[in-house]
Amino acid sequence: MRTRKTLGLAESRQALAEMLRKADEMGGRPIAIAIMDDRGELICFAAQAGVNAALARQNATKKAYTSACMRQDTMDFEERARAAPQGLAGFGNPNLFIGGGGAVVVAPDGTIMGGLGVSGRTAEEDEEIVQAGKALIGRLIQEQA
Amino acid sequence: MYDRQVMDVEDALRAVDAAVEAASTEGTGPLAVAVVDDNGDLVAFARTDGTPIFQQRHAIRKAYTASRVCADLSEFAAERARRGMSSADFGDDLVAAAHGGVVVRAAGQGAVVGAIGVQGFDREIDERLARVALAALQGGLS
Repeated sequence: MRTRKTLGLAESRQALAEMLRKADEMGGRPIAIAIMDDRGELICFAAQAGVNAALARQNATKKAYTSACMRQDTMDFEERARAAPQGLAGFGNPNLFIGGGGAVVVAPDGTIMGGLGVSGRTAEEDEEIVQAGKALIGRLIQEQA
Repeated sequence: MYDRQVMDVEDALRAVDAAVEAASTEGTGPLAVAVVDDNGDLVAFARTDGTPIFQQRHAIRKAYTASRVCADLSEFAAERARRGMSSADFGDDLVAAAHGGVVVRAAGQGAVVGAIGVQGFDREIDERLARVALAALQGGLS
């Protein structure tokens, strides 16, 4: 047996608050935010009132899942998927997402710890919000390391 | 046209935080807590470190069920027993036979705006923490 550093609620909850703060500061449509561990399982989640029920909740979840499981930000995964011979379909996983708004969380030692997903605004806005969350959670993990 | 009360994310997060904090203070062990809106869609969620995946999903199912049937899960269980029905009779895969789910009503008119589901280790603790979350949610409403 061995141990694995795993993303916890304390740092995830702070990142969630930071992304909500960032979204308020930027102003715009309501968003949904998902934070998942390295297994692609939900740690914490928030959806603002009036968020697109069908699309944003689902996409925030897909973006966090994709970042955690494909081990890269969804913008980078888009490039990888587009370069693949069969594109996104070749991965055979309907829960994967390509485009802005998903960010992988990596520990200083390189351990993949999870993923963040933001959806509800434009790809660029979602991306700006999720990167604010990624920066904070990265700092919090580094402080604990 | 009419006005409908809707769940606000800040209220929902306050409820989630209250349940997590109470569980931590009481040392009840890992738990998951979910707040959904009047459609049963997730508004806020958190699980403490080391919570098994089943508990995470079940907290969401509990909140969903309470919201969809517009009743606390204890009332829903009593009603099913009275009518001789199982949770499967409702034709909704997400409707769960469980305890630890409470409905959230708007102040005054009493319309259902959502529900809270708590899944830990023990039925009584789940119920109590769901009420702690509900009190925190309603306590901050203006």
